[in-house]
Amino acid sequence: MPNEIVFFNELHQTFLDAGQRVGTTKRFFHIGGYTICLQFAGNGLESRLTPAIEHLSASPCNFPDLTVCLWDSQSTESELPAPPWSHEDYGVHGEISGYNTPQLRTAFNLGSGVLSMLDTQRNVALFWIRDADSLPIYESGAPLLTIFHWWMGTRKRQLIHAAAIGHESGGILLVGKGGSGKSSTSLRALDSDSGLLYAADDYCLLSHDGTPFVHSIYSSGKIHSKDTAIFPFLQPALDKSYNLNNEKALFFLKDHFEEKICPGFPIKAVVLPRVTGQANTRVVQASSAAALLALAPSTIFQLSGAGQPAFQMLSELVRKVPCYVLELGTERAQIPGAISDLLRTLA
Amino acid sequence: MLSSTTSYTVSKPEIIREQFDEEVVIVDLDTGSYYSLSGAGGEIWSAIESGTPTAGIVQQLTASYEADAAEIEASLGRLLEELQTEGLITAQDNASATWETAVSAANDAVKGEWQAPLLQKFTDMQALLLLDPIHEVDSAGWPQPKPEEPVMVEMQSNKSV
Repeated sequence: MPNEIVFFNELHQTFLDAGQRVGTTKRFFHIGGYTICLQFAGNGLESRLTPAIEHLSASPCNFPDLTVCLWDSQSTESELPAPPWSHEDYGVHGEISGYNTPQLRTAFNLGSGVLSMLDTQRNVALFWIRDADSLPIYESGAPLLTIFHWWMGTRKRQLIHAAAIGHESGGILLVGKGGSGKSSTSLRALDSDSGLLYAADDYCLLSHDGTPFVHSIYSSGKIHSKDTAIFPFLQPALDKSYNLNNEKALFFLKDHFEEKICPGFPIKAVVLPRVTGQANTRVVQASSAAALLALAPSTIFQLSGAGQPAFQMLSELVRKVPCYVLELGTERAQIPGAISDLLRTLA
Repeated sequence: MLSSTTSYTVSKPEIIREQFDEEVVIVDLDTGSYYSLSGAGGEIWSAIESGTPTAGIVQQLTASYEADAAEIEASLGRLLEELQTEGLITAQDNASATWETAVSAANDAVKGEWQAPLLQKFTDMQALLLLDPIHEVDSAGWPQPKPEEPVMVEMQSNKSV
């Protein structure tokens, strides 16, 4: 048996032993058309990792498509075996040289201290952190990003850096750099009577089974604490446990905007928000190349192992659907209406 | 002065690209830099990828566009230098004759308005490829996480090269 599989099995056994000792909890979620089981050992991580995906909660099943084993050493009083690799083996996204093979994916995020492993043949993943209390805010806002990216890639689902709003019959992807208005535009759908539904404000899944389709993953996000006054309707959704002393505020939408969250829809257009300083909002055509520039690099370079296949899939998307620039006006109430008008013309 | 027999190849497999009618989007997966190549750049990039030597590219462009041959040659020379400086293409001194077909096809077409090639470089993603240093490890050898939260992704340093 290859060394990397032996080590994966060793860690998996550590998880099983921890679960035997402190008990396990299973939660099921329907993400990207697949049922995923999160199996927690101990109670350190569940409350921190599930609120962001609560809107995709599913009934238990005997044969989930993917099982993720999650635990921390602190609350389960378990120790991980020593890593069999050296300091030189850590890559730019924490991927471990020699431990990424067609069957196995491994990354240790040096920022968060999270170890992620995935066995693509057995469809079992491991998520470990030393102390759940040290889990960074971004792991709660977008949990299991690396594992979802890896596994969904084996199912022709590409994790992308984009926001998504629309109707069940069709919607738009909002793409662009940080500060371009991507997240704020998607969040405005929550506070309008335009009928627009929210699917994502930062990350989502793209599938391309004939028709481009976006799948929601997270109904959570972060905003700068100084901007909370701009989004007063988010106040009830702010997570007080994270926001007391942090410059960024984390919010979870499911309990407060459940009727405005959509699990996904066909993609009718790719839209690039632009802050203009003008009063009115308007939509103008954009080139496919401009859309690809806004979407592809931030997706590819944020994710471990995303390269040519992701670029190809995103290129196909911007060729297949029309692309626009959304010139955001200072009259913010106009924004959802402008998007609804665009969707009507594309229906 | 351009060497007429020099042709070029894309430097490495980590350079990926998508060609649209009006623009080529190029990404260097190694460095985190990415590029927009517009104007006549799309046609030039196609010629580069097909192994057309410099003389062939010049002839193809002069047959396709209403512009002075010297102006076209100067623009082409500047672009080829920029692409080499960025490590996107590598020169090879082995002329080939495969460009003649493209020229004869271009001769039959109505000449278009010349738009000099423009290469724009974006470097805002490079920070995502910086390796985090390992500050401390625990007794088992697992790295300790950084105390502060990583900086959010922001695009800041876009420029023309």
